Amino acid sequence: MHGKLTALDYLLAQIEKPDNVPALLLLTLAAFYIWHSWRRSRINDSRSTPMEAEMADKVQVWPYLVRVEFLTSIVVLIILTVWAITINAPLEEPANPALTPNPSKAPWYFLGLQELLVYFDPWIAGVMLPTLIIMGLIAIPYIDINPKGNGYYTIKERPFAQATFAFGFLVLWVVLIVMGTFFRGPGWNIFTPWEAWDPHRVVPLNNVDLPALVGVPTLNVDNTYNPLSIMIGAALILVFYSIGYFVWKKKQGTPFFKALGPIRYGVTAFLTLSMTGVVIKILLRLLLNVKYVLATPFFNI
Amino acid sequence: MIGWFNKRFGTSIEQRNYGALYAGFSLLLFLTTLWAVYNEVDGRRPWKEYQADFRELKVQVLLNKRRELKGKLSKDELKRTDSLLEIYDEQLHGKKLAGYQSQIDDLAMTIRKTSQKRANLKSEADNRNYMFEHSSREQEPEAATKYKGQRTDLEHRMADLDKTLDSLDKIRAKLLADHITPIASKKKALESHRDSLYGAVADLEKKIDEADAMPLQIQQVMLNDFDRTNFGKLQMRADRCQSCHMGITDPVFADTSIFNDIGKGRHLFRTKDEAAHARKVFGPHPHPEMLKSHNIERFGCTPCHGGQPMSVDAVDHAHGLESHWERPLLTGAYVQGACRKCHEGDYTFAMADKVSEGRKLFIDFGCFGCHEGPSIPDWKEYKVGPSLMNIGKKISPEWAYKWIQNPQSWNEHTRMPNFKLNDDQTKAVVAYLFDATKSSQYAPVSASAPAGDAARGAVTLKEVGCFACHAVDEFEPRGKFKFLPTTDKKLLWPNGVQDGNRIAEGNNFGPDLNKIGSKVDAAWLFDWVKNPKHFNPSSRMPILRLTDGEAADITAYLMGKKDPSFLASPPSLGSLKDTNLIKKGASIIREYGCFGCHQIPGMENEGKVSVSLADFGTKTAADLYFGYLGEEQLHNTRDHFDKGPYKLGKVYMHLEDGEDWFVWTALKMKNSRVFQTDAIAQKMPVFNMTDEEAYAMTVALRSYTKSYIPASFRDPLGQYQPAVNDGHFLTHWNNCVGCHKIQGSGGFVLENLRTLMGIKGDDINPYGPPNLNTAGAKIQEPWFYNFLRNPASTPVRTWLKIRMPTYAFTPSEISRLDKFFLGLEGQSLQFTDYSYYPATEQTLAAGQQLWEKLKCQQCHAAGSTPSLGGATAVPAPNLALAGGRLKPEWIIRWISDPQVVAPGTKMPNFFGTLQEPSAADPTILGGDWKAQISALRDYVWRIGGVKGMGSSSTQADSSSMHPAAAPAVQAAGSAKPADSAAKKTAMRTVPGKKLAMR
Repeated sequence: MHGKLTALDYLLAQIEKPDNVPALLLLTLAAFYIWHSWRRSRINDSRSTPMEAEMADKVQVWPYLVRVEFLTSIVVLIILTVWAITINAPLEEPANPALTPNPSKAPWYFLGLQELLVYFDPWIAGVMLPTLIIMGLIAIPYIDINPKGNGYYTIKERPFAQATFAFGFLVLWVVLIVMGTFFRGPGWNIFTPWEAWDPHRVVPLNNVDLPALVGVPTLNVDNTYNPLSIMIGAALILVFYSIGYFVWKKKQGTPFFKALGPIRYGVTAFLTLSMTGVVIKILLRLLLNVKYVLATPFFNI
Repeated sequence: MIGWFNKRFGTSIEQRNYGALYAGFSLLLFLTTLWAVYNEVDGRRPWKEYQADFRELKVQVLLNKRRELKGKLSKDELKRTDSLLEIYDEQLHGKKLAGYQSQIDDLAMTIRKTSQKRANLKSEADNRNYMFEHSSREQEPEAATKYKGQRTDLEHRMADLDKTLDSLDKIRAKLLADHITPIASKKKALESHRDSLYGAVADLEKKIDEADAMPLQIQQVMLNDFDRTNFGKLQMRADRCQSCHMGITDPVFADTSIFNDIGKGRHLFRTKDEAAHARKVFGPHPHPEMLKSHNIERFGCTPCHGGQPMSVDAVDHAHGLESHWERPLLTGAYVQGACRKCHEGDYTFAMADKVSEGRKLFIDFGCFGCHEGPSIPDWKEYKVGPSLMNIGKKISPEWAYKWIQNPQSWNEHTRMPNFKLNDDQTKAVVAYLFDATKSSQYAPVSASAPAGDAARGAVTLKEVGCFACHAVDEFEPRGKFKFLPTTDKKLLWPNGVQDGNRIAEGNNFGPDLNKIGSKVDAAWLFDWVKNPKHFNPSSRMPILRLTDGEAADITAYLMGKKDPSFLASPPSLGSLKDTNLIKKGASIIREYGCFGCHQIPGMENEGKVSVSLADFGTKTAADLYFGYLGEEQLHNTRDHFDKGPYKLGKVYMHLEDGEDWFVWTALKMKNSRVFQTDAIAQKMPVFNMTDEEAYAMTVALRSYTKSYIPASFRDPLGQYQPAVNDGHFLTHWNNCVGCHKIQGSGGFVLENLRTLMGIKGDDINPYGPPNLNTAGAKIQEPWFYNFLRNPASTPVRTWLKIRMPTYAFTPSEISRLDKFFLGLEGQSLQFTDYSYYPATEQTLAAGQQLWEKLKCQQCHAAGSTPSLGGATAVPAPNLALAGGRLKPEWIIRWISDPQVVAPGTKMPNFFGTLQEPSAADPTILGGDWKAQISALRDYVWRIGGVKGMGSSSTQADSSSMHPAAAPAVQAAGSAKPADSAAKKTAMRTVPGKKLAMR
């Protein structure tokens, strides 16, 4: 006889998917390291000198580091072997040019990027944002002039860096991966991990452009673009990025900003605002069904 | 744990000890590696265990056989031999010979040592020879001389050793010959005597040894040219099914009685479950005859059965019972769907009843009138429902109204579905139909039917065989429904669940006549039974050549069969002339596609109203819509079918919620409107299918897939296949199979005739329509044509009361039918002159002798000479017809073994059987059975008139006696490779007279 499948069954099925194991591992490890660094930072921040500074004695790489690394490699080998034995490769049906799997999911580490495709046009989500991420990561050593936090955990001494990490990695990267892995089903519709994937689910498709929300339609009746809509959209984006300018205007006198200089500040502000902008756009879509902020015949943001 | 960590991090790095950690993790890594090895070698190779079990079982079975065989052998003889052997054995190893034995052994050891020494010298000598040659090449004469000297020295020493060896060998041989060999050879002779005594036992022992030594290895069948990837590229397929199912073709397991050997002690299996499991895994193929035509080495397993060919790491994986595998093992009748993949056009599969049934139902329910599908007839030409071109002249609007609203309320067996039209819609449809046919020119031949005698009509009705196509009186419809209990009546079956099918065969073909009097009027009926083509030229009802009197009698009888309850409360239709109503009717007819099954005036240019089903079998639950139905109802449906004999197939993808293809399709068949929702209207009418019908339909529909099967795997009849497929359709469409057996199926009327005439079993055969087996090889083409144009022109079985009706086939239809019968025999339609067939005076005289001797005339008339009759005589055709009707080669085949040609015939086998032929009379033609059969044929051939004299080649004729042995002759008209021989024989047989059009 057939038992009725419960929410728990569906949840377990999601967890047991070989595809999803690495994403779960990512979650667990991220949680552990966040907790670990947070705990150590708190201790350090409440003391005059960080704990790490007290371990002043330096030891030789050989054998004291190498023996730990070697032990670690043994442990990793054990884990990989057991993983390979117990969990089979997540093979699917033979490729068929006439039949696209539904949902078509990228490997877990790309699901965050794939999720971005929901909110942005492919040239932004697939080309510009990944490029910005890589460029930004490369830029960090050059724009970070804060010498503190070298070799020890701290939040208090590097509040901006820590906040950017928490926002950029945990919110943008990890949450998007989790979203794409566990919360997207057939038709890339949102499903909770504990419900059945109904391929027939119909969701309302009523996204509108932001200017239209305030009564300015994107298209004229003859299907040409409404200049007013374009102007409002462009203005909104300009206003958003001009925040950087106003902050500079207000704070440029402080010693830190002086040390930073206008170019380093400019890059930092642009990257930070872009990162925030991505999240704002996601929220606009999820909460207000905003399709585009700026829609033009050439590109849409 | 935390304490351990704290303590550890409390000590300085230099003082931490890693010994224990390294030891622990290294051990763990070692164990993990062991695990990985075990997993690879054994854990993922469960087939090894199956093979070991199989090996053990096979050895056991063979040992049992050996014991059985040994039990039958003469015990004394064996005992004597065995004791003698023992004595020889003792002598060979006894004290008397011990001295010689040890001498011989010592000698052998010395010889071995010496040989070794010689071999060493040889290799040294070879080396010196090389050095010598090398030095010579390098122009170093001194060295060359040195090496040559060494070589010569070594060669001398070798020659000495050779001498020693020779003498040693001689001594040893003498010792052996003097003392050991006499006894040993006696022993050997005795052993071979013993082996010959054993005979089969020795063979068995060899087999046992082989079975015992069977290595555990993957067994696979490679299909190089069968598969294609989804991208159309050729792909190799390896079927590894036999890695576990090892007994499929193993002759040791062919006898399934071994699986009944259950019990304690000396039995193969301890429990029933164990035996059943062993049979399931190791048993032979349930249809060995299937493997004869589908050689496993050529076709493998998965092309028919599905499953994951390469997978051997777990039972479920191998059977493809996992998500993402698109071709899981087919269970129950669903495996039959695979037949269609290669035999796409076939209708009747001898070993696949359900898919045949489903294919026929797809035609008979008129599915092809709305849906495209594989191998279906042209819907514009073939319509399953009657033509409505003159409908206004046949029935009343009230009757039409009630009928359209619920056809089952008039006749629960009808294939006309219920469209669930409401009152207004029904009225509109009736209005359109009666308006469109109001200008019809049809009028019955006589305004009122002549008076007839109903009692006489009842007799005539049965004599001419109306019940071959119609249910009437005691002849209830074939495939009559059987009511079964159901769990969810409303869901599965609006009117209760039933068993049985309504394939249009036998008396399911035409409408039930039991209430006809309340449907039509006498004048119409009289005209109809006289000539149905008058009212409806496209009717499938043939002309029965009734006289006016017979027709009047039958009309009188049928008009008495009334059921006034149907129109007891006639609907008040009011005026049907309203143009808006008529327009509405037209749009409803267009919407529901009534013209898919009926010819409807004004609707000639419409298209099919519904979707193509060409690849419906590949759809998944995601492609189907389940409407409001929830898990419970879907599970109930599955349970309902799975509890009965019709178990639905299983899908391993999208199993959640009970939504799957099988449940959807079965439900759709049972209750086609079940998935309707507020938003999605469904127009497919309700066919009120029985469980059996719905199941057969799911089997057939599941097989509707687009697959790339290479031509070399398809169409066993080659070039004849299309003609045969077409003929299968035509003989089904016209219910030829209602009366005649064709290719072993059909002839349903015989059962009714048995009831009517009170004759049992095969004794009915002479009194019923003939078996059409081998008709293509039997009937001359011109005769076939003339007979089908007008069966009354050349009556063969003049004693039959049941009539071969006049079908009014067109010449093209007759050639299609003839091509069908010829195609079944591997022949194509060609013009042949049958008027001349040579024979000699001698053979004709012998033939006449045989004719008299075998008393052929007891049953057969010969021209104006009637048959003699007698206690054992049965009616048989007049043989004067033979020369103008039968093909000469076929008569040979027929006389050789009538039972093979038409199983159950009353014609005796005078010449033994095909397997064991014998002469009918040892004195005629020197007792040569071949010559006798040929002579008898030559004689019979000429009864109707002289057909030519000349030299007959008995050799050619006799080869045609055994179609299996000489297929080339059967295929005389075909283009098979073996044809040149056939052509030669054909030319010899009819020198210069065979007019073959190729």
